[in-house]
Amino acid sequence: MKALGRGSLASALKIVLDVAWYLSWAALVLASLFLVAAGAAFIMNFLGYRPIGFMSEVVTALQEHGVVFPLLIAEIVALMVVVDRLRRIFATLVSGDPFVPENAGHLQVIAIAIAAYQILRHLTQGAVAMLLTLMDRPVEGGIHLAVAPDVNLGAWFAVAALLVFAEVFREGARMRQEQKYTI
Amino acid sequence: MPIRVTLDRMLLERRMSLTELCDRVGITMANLSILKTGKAKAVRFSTLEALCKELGCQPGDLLSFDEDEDDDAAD
Repeated sequence: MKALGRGSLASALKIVLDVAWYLSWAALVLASLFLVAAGAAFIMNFLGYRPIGFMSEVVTALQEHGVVFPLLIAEIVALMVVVDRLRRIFATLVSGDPFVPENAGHLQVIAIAIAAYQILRHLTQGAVAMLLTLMDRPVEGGIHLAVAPDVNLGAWFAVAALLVFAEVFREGARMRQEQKYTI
Repeated sequence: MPIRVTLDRMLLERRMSLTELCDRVGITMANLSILKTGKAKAVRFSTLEALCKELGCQPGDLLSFDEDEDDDAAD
């Protein structure tokens, strides 16, 4: 199986990325709906409305975890940026012409999005930890919260490598452009 | 780019069309247009040779250096 062009490995990966793109849209819509529901639950609580039965549990859960949804949405958006830019790069791979100046920009954006995703992940974990601590859940549930050096070194290495590859692509595109205009 | 290709002037002096030159030197119309409009980044010796042969000139007659020209203007 060839690597570039139509019917290649690149085109198969492009299909996978297309599926991931639509799935991430679905996840974004779902998370947004949860955020709206959490907002509604806060307003209901503020107005003094107390639902009963199963709805009561749902509203309580939404109130407790509502803080996480904005961060979750931001994470999904960062993920979508990565998938979208990868789709655009793979489109050029499928067309058999990857050394275009735009791909350097796409790689840079992917690097920034991965970095943003990592930071948001830490913020989300921090928010959840804070929430559990404030609600005194660690004691009740027996959860032990401790500061741990949970830095994804692989992801940060990918960020640095992508920034370097972006420059390699930029140089490649410049050389190709120069060759194209050599008569 | 400060280096300019003066192909249009040479063609005008010889009352020759770009199509005619294209047929004579065997360079595609698209490539000759790139040369004529100043978009070219480099010129091969073989191209210069073919042009000089047909136009009866020296390589220096086809090129000029304008210091005031913006380096990125043609990009």
